[in-house]
Amino acid sequence: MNSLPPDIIALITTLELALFTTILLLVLGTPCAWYLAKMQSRWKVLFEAFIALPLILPPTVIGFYLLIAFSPNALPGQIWQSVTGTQLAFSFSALVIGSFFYSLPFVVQPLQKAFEQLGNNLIEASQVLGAKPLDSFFSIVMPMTKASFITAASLGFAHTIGEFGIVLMIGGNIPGETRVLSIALFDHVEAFNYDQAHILAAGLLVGSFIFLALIALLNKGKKNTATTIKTNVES
Amino acid sequence: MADLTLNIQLPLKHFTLSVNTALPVSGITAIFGASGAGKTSLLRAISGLEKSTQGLILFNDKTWLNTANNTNIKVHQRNVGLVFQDNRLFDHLTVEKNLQYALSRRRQKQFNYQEVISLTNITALLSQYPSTLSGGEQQRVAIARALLNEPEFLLLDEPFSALDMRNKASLISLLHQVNKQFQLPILYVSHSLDDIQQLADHLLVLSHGEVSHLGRTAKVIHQLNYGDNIQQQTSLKLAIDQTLTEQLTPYGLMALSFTDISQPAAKLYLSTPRFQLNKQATLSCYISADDISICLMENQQSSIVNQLAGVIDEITILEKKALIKVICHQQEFYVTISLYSLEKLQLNNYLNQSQTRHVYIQFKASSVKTLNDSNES
Repeated sequence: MNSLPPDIIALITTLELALFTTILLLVLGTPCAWYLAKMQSRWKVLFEAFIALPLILPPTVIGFYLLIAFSPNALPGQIWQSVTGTQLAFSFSALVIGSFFYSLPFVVQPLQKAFEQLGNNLIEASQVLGAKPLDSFFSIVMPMTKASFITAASLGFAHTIGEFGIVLMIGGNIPGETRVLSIALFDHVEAFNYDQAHILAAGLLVGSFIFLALIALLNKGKKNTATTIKTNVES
Repeated sequence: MADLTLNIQLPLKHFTLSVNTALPVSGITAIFGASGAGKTSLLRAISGLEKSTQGLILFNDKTWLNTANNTNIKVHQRNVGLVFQDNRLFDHLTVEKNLQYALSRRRQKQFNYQEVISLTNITALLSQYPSTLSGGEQQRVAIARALLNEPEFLLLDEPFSALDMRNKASLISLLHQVNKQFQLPILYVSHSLDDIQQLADHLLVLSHGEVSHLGRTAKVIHQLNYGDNIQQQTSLKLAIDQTLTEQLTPYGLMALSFTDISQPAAKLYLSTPRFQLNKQATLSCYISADDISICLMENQQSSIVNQLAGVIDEITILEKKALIKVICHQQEFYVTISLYSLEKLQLNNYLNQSQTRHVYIQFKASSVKTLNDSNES
């Protein structure tokens, strides 16, 4: 991989980061969204506000606190080091964890909305037919909220590809490890290497546009079945 | 006899559902009550869907709920079939896949797939999606799905509420067959005594979350008749081979004798039922008290085919109308008229008097509702 041009290596790192982060977001964000959708406590708004923080906070704020948490002097950093034997800060894993927090609202919010819209009726129907809760989730909830899963995954993926501030704070600029496309672009601009910067910037622009258009195409006509059901019941 | 023992409390919005009774787990039992009386909540508590239910639920020898010792068998382990009022078919699956969903999660393997499909008459619907079906078709699919899951007890929440008369008659007949053919006890919620009289062996009446009546349907309805706002009906069970006196096929009418066939005047004209009648069939006939009127003299010039002479046996004043029991050829007929008509015909003079008053009752052939009871033992 070292023989590849640095920008290609940055592209591969970016895609790997987006892929791992999206998987982590779906695995951990789905139960989080489910819990929020079903939660009836008055503290729910606080949880929702916490999840939504990355939407308004400058990424450098999140990056700053994560950098402190990941350092070998802080408890999370120490636990990581004792388990893996490596330092967390300025590693690819740190980027994945940072990106996870940064993109969490983009995955949790559409899923939470879809789960709320689906309601409990069909889950109850499946449970009466003998389905256990996880069985209900995979056989009824997931297929009926498929469109929201696609939206959540694509938003999480795209948002991770575009991040800059957090990566800069907790990842540094290690080629093949933490140097992602947005950092590479920043490097080119700083070095007045505008031709290379143009290639990366235009590439990201066009690539992101095509990606989002493809997702929209994929979701076309795939309105959440949950929405349809709600409308039917209301009518 | 097997039963479902309930001693439960469930807080609802305006009152607490508090039921302490034992329901028979055989035949068909109906739960009747006004809107908001707690009927649906009771079904949900029995099936385990209401998690805040407190108390005790015993199904035969099994404990489903006993909050005293923290026993609460989960919904998916109770083996109860529940057909919801809104069907709750899975719209992302075809009818066949909906049925497979139930089939693959059943605990026993006794019911035959083809038998259930043909009984519910949904063979032609298998490849369709639920959203393309009519209300009656969706209801049949929901019942088939519940049956294929092979529950020990089938619960239905207002199964007839969205159906027209024709679909309702066909579903009543289907539930009779389900009960007999699969020996499956049924508990269903209804707010119509008309349906209940045609279908249920036992009746539980809920009022503000408490059981006000429980017993054989006919007996409970008789008790209810003395309350207000209850639709009174005249019920007759007539064996075709013994009572058929006339068949007016070109007119779509038939006449059945309702007492001794030797009394030519004691006959009932009714529309020939849509379903196939065999000679051994017993026909249940129902006439709503609101559909019968009273005349002081026979009306020869009327288009109404049923005109029967009788005597007033009893007059009960209800809130805005009078319920009159008229005996015609030893058969009781129930008539409701307005208090205005009661005064106009001067029938109120006969209240609390032992004096005999001869009258004529009249009702259209189309007001006689029928149900084929040929499958009943």
